[in-house]
Amino acid sequence: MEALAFSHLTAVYPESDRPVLRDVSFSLEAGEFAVLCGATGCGKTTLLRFAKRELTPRCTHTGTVTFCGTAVEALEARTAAAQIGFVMQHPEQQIVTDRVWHELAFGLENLGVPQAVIRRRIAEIASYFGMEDWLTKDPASLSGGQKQILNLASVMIMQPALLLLDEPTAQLDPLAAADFLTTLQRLNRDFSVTILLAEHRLGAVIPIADRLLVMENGALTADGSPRSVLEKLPENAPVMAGMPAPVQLFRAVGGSGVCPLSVSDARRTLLPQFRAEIRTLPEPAPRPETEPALAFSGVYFRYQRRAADVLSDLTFSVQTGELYCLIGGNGAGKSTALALASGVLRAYAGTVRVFGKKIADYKQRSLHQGCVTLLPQDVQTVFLKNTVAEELAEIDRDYPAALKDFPFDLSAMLPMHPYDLSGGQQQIAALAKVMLTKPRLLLLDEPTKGLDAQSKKLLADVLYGLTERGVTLLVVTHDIEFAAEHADRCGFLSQGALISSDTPRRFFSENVFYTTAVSRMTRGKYDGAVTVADAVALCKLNGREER
Amino acid sequence: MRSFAEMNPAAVTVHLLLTACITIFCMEPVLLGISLCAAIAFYLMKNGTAHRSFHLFALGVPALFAVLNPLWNQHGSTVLFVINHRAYTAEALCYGGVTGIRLAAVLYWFRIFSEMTDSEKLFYLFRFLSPRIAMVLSMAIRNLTLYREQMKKIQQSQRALGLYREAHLIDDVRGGARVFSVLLTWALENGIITANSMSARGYGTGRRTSYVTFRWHLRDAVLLGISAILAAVSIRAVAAGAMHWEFYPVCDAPPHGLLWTAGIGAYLLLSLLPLIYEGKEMLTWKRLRSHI
Repeated sequence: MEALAFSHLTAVYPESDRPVLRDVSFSLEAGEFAVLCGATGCGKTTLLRFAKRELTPRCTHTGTVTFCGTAVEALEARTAAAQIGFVMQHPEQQIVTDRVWHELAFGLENLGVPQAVIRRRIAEIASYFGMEDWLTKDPASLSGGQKQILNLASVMIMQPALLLLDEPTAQLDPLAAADFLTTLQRLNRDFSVTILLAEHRLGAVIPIADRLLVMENGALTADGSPRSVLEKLPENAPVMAGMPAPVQLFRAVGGSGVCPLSVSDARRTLLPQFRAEIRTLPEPAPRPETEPALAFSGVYFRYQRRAADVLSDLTFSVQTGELYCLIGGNGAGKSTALALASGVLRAYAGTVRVFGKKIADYKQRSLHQGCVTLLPQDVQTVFLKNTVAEELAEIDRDYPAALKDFPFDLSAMLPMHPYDLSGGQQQIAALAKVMLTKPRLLLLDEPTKGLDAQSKKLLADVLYGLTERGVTLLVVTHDIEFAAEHADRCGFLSQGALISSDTPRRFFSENVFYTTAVSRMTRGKYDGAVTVADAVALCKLNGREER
Repeated sequence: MRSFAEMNPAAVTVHLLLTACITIFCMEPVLLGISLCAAIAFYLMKNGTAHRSFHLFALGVPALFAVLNPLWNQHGSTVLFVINHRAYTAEALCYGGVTGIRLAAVLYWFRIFSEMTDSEKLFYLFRFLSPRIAMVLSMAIRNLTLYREQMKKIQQSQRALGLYREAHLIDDVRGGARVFSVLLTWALENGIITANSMSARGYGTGRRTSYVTFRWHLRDAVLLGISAILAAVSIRAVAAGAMHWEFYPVCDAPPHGLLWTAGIGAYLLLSLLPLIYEGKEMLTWKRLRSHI
């Protein structure tokens, strides 16, 4: 049976002259798990919203969207609310009430379900999602991943037949994202919920999806099982850069047979096709030693007198002109370390030196005048004005000249309100604003959050441009693939202390669990291959195994 | 039997409101004394010797009031002494003392109420008045915390961007005003997403039910019934004037009849109910523990 069908949907926003959706047609069978991918701003959100009666965008449109044979706009209000679930990107803002149990009850209350039934459903769903312990908590005290699971649970409690998700993991760290996706997969298998998931972090999604839909500029360019789509997709398609590492490697070296989707697939079918006479790539020349721009020595920090230490004996330094990536799990103290480096927080023991001078010795806020700038994780907090243009002019009136090397196209964003931008665009606009302060030491907290693969490459270009001009960069990130590809050095933070620190190649090949997909794939066959480019180079150097 | 705080919030609230209201509308020293002693005893039982500053406030301010009242109040016939050509009378002191006891008792009862009622219970209580108000209340509580945190985050980011250029008061105020204005925008923007999430989950599609976490048991009905009967007797006595006291020109009360005795007895029981419940619970636990 058809759960959802789009037929020839074309839509145009009122103030715009070009359609946001062009002749979109596809249908999902009941119980299918479909992934919709495409670059930021290609129309994924608009497409999803057309399938949800309450959130239908105010566009002029032609074509129809039907849910189980009925046009979506003709659905009865309560059926539409209960049968079609929608989960959005921001975990925090979707939560309505101040108790977890009440959040779960909210949807059923709206539908007028009797109390005894609500009680039963809450108990059931809490046990299914393993959230009994949080029922009486305030949602604000939950982690981002838990909040998103709560959002999913409070939609699932209404027993929807169709679940629409708009980049639900974009704001989560990889571990929480993987948990969320596993939960989705379980829902799909256990209850045959039809799922349409918009995503650009495809590594974890593609192996579990039944269908892959690719969008470009408002049009569907590919539709089918993930394998068939990936085999047909042109090499230069924008979504290609976001594909899982096994797929990228397969395409780049022209592997034969079926396209591997996961690390184990690749180890089994793809890598045996190549010889392994040359096991390592030549070590690149080490960076010349420079003066440290930032040095932590024996730093301790805690948020409250009686609380536990968040940083304990943290010692490390970042050299001038270096791109240093600090990685580690949730609560390892990464963001706290950045806050200390930016002078927002003060250590209770140990010293933090910026360009050789103790932070406490920077008088009159001179620390933040062209010296140290922090791009926080929640980039919305960077904006104060009504348009992006005003935002940039506030720091530097002549911002077009100052940003002429900036690879992102800001022109479309300039007249817009910063809050109207998508998550990825906000990240870019905030980066532009922060760069205008011309810092010598730039601290970035999760700069790749919400960015699609294409934008990540441009971000890397921006960072390279900065280090070439001698700017020092300290990047805190969960994105180990990004760190492996672009960092000069990586540091691993755990329990508030630095466990190891090295060049990405040595760092990730010595790590066993906390490492890149390529490193896990090539382990035992090649040494020190951590990025797709490394693996491609090694495969090409060695050549194919002769049969 | 469960402890008093674990009874249904509605029953507990009705009991505490009745106890406090009778205290407010009565000027009978014996009844007020009972009320204050019962409240303090229960408070100590729940909190031990913590919150000393509250005790100091709740007892100190009324005591001060009692001592100072005769300075303004010139009524009364028994002059104790004269300051500044003004008489300091025993009756005014007495009146001040009784009013002070009343104030202290009410302070303790409300403190007990607020300590026993968290946002969840408050939400449950408001639902009796209006489910809509309860919903708004729940969202407001959540949003206040959200706004406070966002404000702090914005301030930190802006400081790290060098927005506050000088360590000047004017610069700080200007920066603060800008942060506040952007916080308003953020709140509105945030509100739209929340509203979307609400309508996506069927808010406003018709009659709502209200999911209630506190169940109604027989023991709650018993507490409510006992409270109502005892309060009715006391109120009857107060209304009939059996609890009436004259302070001026001399302290005087009508002769203590049957109604007075009944009223005082009923109030004594009413104000001791929390202690009785709590005490029984404690004993039960002790007994259970000695068996283990």
